[in-house]
Amino acid sequence: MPIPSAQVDQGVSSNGSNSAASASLTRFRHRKISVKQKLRIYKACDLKDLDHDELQQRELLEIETGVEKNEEREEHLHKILQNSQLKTKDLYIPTPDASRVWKEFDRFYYGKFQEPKNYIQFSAQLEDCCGPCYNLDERDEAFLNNVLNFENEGDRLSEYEFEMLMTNFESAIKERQPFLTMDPESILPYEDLKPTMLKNDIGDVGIKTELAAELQMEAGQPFLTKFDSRTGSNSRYMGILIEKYGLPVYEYWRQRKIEVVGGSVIPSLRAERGKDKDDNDPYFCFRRREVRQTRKTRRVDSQNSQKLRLLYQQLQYTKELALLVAKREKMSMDTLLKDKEIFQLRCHTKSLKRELGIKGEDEDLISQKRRKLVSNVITNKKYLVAQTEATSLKKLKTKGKDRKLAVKQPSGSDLKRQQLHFQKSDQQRQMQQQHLLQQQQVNGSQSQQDSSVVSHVYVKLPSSKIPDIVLEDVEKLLSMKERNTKRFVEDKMRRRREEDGNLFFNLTDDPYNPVFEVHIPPNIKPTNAPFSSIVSSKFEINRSYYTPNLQDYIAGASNFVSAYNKDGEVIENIKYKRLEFYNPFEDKRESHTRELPLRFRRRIGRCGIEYLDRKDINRNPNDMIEQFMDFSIINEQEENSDVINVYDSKLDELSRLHERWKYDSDYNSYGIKFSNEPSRLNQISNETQVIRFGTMLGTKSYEQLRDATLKYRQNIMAQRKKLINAQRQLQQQPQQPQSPQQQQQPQQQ
Amino acid sequence: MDKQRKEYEELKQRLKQALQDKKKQEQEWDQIQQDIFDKETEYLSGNASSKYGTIVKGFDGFSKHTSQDNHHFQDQDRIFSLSSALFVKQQQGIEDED
Repeated sequence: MPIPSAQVDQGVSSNGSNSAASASLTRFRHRKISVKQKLRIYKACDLKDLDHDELQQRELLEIETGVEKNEEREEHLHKILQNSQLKTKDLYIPTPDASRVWKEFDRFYYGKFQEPKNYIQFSAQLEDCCGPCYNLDERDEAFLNNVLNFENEGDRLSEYEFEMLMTNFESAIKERQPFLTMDPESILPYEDLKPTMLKNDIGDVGIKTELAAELQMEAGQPFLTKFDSRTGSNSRYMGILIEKYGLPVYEYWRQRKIEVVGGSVIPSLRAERGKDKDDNDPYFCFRRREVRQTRKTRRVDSQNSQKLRLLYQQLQYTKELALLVAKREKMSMDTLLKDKEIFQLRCHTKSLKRELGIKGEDEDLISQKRRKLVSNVITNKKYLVAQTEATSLKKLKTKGKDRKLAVKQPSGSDLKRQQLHFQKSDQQRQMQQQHLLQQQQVNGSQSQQDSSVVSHVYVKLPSSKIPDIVLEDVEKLLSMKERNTKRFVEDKMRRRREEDGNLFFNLTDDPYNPVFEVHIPPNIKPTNAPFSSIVSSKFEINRSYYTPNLQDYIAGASNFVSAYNKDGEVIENIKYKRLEFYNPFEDKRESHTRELPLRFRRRIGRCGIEYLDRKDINRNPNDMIEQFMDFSIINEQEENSDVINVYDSKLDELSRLHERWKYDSDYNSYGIKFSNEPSRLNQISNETQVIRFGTMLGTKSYEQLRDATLKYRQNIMAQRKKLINAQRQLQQQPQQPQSPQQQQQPQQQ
Repeated sequence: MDKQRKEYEELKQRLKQALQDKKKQEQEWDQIQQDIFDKETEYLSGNASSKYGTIVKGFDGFSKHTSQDNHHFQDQDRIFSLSSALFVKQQQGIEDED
């Protein structure tokens, strides 16, 4: 087949070298067109010069042949591929005709196969079954019959034996001269080959003889193993064959060997040899595949070799065992033979004895006892028992050790004493252990106490833990604070009253608070002070009044009112010498005290009208309305249903008043009593309060820590005191004898 | 008569010898069986080489890297000892006695 020369080289490399030759070998390949590659441009006049095959191959690309790239060039296939449409039917790949029936089959393949009941079990290898590797051909047959067996008719060499000899020659020469093909004439003479041949183990004879020797069987005694085929069973031994026919067969074999130029006389399939690979020779039977070697690591290698070694050991074991079994079976056979011999001897002896008329002496003639069915073999159970006993003994020993250790562990100082005790009687030991246990318990409790004290010294409060503590309600805390203050004030007042006796009393809302004349500083207004508490904290007290004899004063008997200025000095001024009774609805309104009787709120209503809402302190507007309004007048007016002026209508007045006092409440918009306001910590946001509370917790934990530390110190102090006391007592002991109770005290401690 | 007598004596002697031989053989047999049994026990109960299987259990795990260490075996696994009919009979006899 002409190889098309590549005239289109699309894949010219950038350096411009023309790889036409190599491109022709590889299959034409489409490549991506890139700016870096030169492309040859064909003109119309060039086309007729282009190789026809080349063009055809380009067309042919589309067909998927399914065979390997190299094999597409196989002659027949290539032809078919070239005429791509398969238009001609007479194109095909020739194959040998396998359709005919071979008439002589029955001549060579006979015998009957009986299907076994169980699975077919077969361990022998093919080589074990087919006899020697060498197969007789026609030339050999002629030589065997016309030359070798013609000369010595009486002692024929069988075909099987001839094959064995030839195989032996082949294997011997392979061993001695592996490179005979280099120089076939240098083939070794018969004498040199003979020892190798004798050593060779053709047909497993060597193994058999070895086995026979090991089983102490007679040499030359033929025997068959289960794996042996029966074909060559009656052949003679190799040693005999070599001695008798070695030389003539060698001459014949040597001739043939030189004919095949030192190669194998045994015909073999042609296969790839070595590294050379010829793809074009179609008569190679098996071709190597290019298989990438798997990566082997040293670890895997060593593992595998280790495994193989173990497997070898296994087989070794098995072999030993199998050999022992074989020995035993041979022994059994010998025993049976002996039995037979004994039986025969007895028969003879008995008949002779009868003839001679001898009596007695027949202890040997009867088998006294049938062989007892008792095995002298120590079997599994006993073995196991023995093993378990051994292990239990071991266990006991270890247990004993453990026990000793266990006793050793708890105490360091009492070790020797305890060991002594341990060696004594069991009771004592138990007692000792109990005592020990008690000691341990005491120690444990002590240590526990210690640890508890120690652990309390450190109060850890990680930041994440704080939210977990149930926080007290701020409301609650505030109310408690208020309650405390109230109680404090009440207490103060109570004491004051006691001091005062019945001498003094006050007429103000809170009779035990002095009446003050209160001023608000000019820069502070109730509107910009968010809470009354702040306003009140800024109050300035200019004057205060006091009536020592209020009872009389109310009765009108006394007129005495003492007034004090802010420094507490008595003011002698008649202008202030009046105690006031406040009544907002009094016609003559004159307020002498500057206490705020009402509070106001500025409010912007509809149309931008400003209102000033008045708030009365501690007065319920509804209660007040009753005081201010005469409901009978309202009823009267309504009943009369006279048309009256809106400003004269009492009902309207009532509604107006109600409207005005609507906001007159003791509770602010948060629903808290105004009197509670001062405790609201001056409008501090919740977050800030949380921080404050956190710091409170911190102080609390600090207090706990302090307490614990104190406790701990006290504990240590107490212990030291005890120690010192004990020492003192010990020191005092030799000087003066003490009572037994006192003596025992330090020991108990 | 004398000849016969001599022959008889000879026969007697041979018989005695044969009986002795047989006794010896039986002892040997026992010894071998014991050897087999012990070796078998050693083999089956596992040693370093039985890591990947034994001839009795097979070598299924041979190609795997994991090795299982179950060296438990039953009496049925004693293929070597049990290959002797006499031994089996003896064992059965022992069991019957028990």
